Amino acid sequence: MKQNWKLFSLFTAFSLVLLIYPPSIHAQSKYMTRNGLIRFEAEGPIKDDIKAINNQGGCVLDAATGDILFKIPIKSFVFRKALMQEHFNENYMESHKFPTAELRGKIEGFSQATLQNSGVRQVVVAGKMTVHGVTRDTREKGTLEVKDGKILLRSDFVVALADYGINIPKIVEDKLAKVAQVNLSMDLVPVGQEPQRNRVE
Amino acid sequence: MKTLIRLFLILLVLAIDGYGVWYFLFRPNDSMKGQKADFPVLLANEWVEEFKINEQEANQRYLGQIVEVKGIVREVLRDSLGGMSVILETGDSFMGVNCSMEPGEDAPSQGSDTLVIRGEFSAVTLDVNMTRCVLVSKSK
Repeated sequence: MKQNWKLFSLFTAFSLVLLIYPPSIHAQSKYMTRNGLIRFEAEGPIKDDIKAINNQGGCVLDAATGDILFKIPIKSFVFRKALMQEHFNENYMESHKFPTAELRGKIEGFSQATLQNSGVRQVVVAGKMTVHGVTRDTREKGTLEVKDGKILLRSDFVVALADYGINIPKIVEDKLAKVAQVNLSMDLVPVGQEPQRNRVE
Repeated sequence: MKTLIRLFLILLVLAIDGYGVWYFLFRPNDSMKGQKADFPVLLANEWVEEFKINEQEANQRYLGQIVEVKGIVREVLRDSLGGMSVILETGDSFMGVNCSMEPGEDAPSQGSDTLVIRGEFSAVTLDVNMTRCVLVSKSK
């Protein structure tokens, strides 16, 4: 009986500690993903299935400050048609010269509370986006959700191709939209969570 | 009779040309399975080191090229659409070789196997990335 009482007291004390100091997600300061999804669509008036998917989006979030970096390898966009993929890389994105696109910025109004509450909340990332070697100020809306120890970031935004020096030849004007739709889906995990193994010698 | 044969040959040539044009415009990406690597097999740790020493030079050498990389599996990741990425160990605590696998590739087991993976080098982000990858060989 005495033993049970001791256990009950310990359990109560532990519960109280958890109640007063909940295990907040920002105890870990950096979160990242290396397989974020980016979907891209630039369908013009004449439908030609101009869409691609990339599952090598990198993202690092500093959970102490709200600083965030997205980095995307351009050649990892996979199209259904090989010719379209060639044109995307060689004629439009010139991925041999500009192999990555990035967005470096900060989550506006970020505070510890942003990561403490569960549920989906609206966020805005403001910073500089570099595409095709051109860097411009940007402000993109999205959502942030803390779930099962992960930070889930989602965003739909548009990129005007001309803003980034991507020219569309007259011959494909009807097929290619002047503004591309981009969808980001990134599930960030604490840095250092990944297992470490020995290298091959 | 001669006219018929001529007509038949013209139609045959048109059909072959038509197929050629159609194939050129709509062909899907070739699988990496039948492709040949542009370099001898690279060790994951040594390859990453090349980018750390001079990223620009390494980019020039490997960008868009087909490479085969040998390493131990650090991690196998799945995206929300089911796409698989195999991260090869490099000895660096952060940077790995990130191989986005072609659909239909089997998931390797973590840690125990040494793999050789073939794919196209796409860029360095948080990792050294390879896309459209296939498993070439597996050993203990």
